Amino acid sequence: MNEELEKRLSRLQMHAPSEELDQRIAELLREASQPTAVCRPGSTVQQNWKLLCATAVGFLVIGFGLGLSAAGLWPEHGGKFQTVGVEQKLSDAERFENRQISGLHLEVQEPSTVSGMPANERQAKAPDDFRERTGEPLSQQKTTILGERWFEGPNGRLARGYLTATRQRIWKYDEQSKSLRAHELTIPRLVVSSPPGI
Amino acid sequence: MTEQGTPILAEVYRQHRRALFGLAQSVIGCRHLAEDAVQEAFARLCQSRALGRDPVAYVFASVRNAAISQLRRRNTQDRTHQSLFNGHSGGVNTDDPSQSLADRNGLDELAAAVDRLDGDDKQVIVLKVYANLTFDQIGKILELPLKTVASRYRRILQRLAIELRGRV
Repeated sequence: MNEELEKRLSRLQMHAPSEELDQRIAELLREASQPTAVCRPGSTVQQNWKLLCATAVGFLVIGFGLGLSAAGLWPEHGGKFQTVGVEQKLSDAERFENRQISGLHLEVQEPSTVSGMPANERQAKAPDDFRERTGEPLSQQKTTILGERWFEGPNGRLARGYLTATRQRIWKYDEQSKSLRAHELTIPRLVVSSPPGI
Repeated sequence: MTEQGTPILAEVYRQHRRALFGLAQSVIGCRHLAEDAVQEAFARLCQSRALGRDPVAYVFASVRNAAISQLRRRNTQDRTHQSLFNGHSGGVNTDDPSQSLADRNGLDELAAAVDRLDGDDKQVIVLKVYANLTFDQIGKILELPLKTVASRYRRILQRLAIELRGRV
């Protein structure tokens, strides 16, 4: 009885996979049979090891720096900024205000009084033999945040401040050399902000 | 996959493609997902380094595992059960002119009865009847002892015979 049933079962025809699957399998097998002489990226285990080693080295470097800092061997600026002939140390009492640090004289002229600027529309028309120098800005500045400070006011209100240094470069026309000359300034600032929620 | 293993894998697929697909479908129930399972299994096999001592059983086991993974990823309430067999009424091979109408009707009933089997029993039928594997190989694929597989196969045939009594 079982043999007869097996014979009848074998006469049933199962569905065949689609030609698309055959093609996909053939492609997989073709790719697998390619020679492996080309350089392949490292395995996941190797990549994990690299990541682990890089992390360990990073922690060691940071730990070494913190150790030096704790021992007082790490050079700290301590609120000193190198300016054009001016060096000023900030005191905590002076920092609870958003202002420019006093005592610094900035040699930045107002735009309306920059020498060589045309006074009217007729003068603004460039003469035919005057060539505009494109791609060279007349002023350039870059502000760098140097550090974060927390301050407490008389009423106990906390505020966060940032020590910033703005490096400004201004090109001025020099009458003697008949060319543009760069003047560089470094402007230290203490910016106090009250973060939300405090 | 080593370069030496790829021809073996290709040969196993060429000989057993229908049974491999049938095994995946008997696990999942859906032909579309069964094809995905077969492809997933072969993608893994192409990346693996060895096919084991019995490559045929190894490939069938891989396809079954991929199909089970597919099934787990799906919503179990959304299962569909498409027939394993060809044709509108269960897949009778109608090219054979010697088959009488009664014979064809009997085969239709048999195909429907196999389709009604649960997934594990269908897998045994596919592996034994359509892949022509030994009970030992089937035991390795289904992770069952040889005797258990043999007795299960006999019970399935008996159940089918009872269900079709009077027709077969």
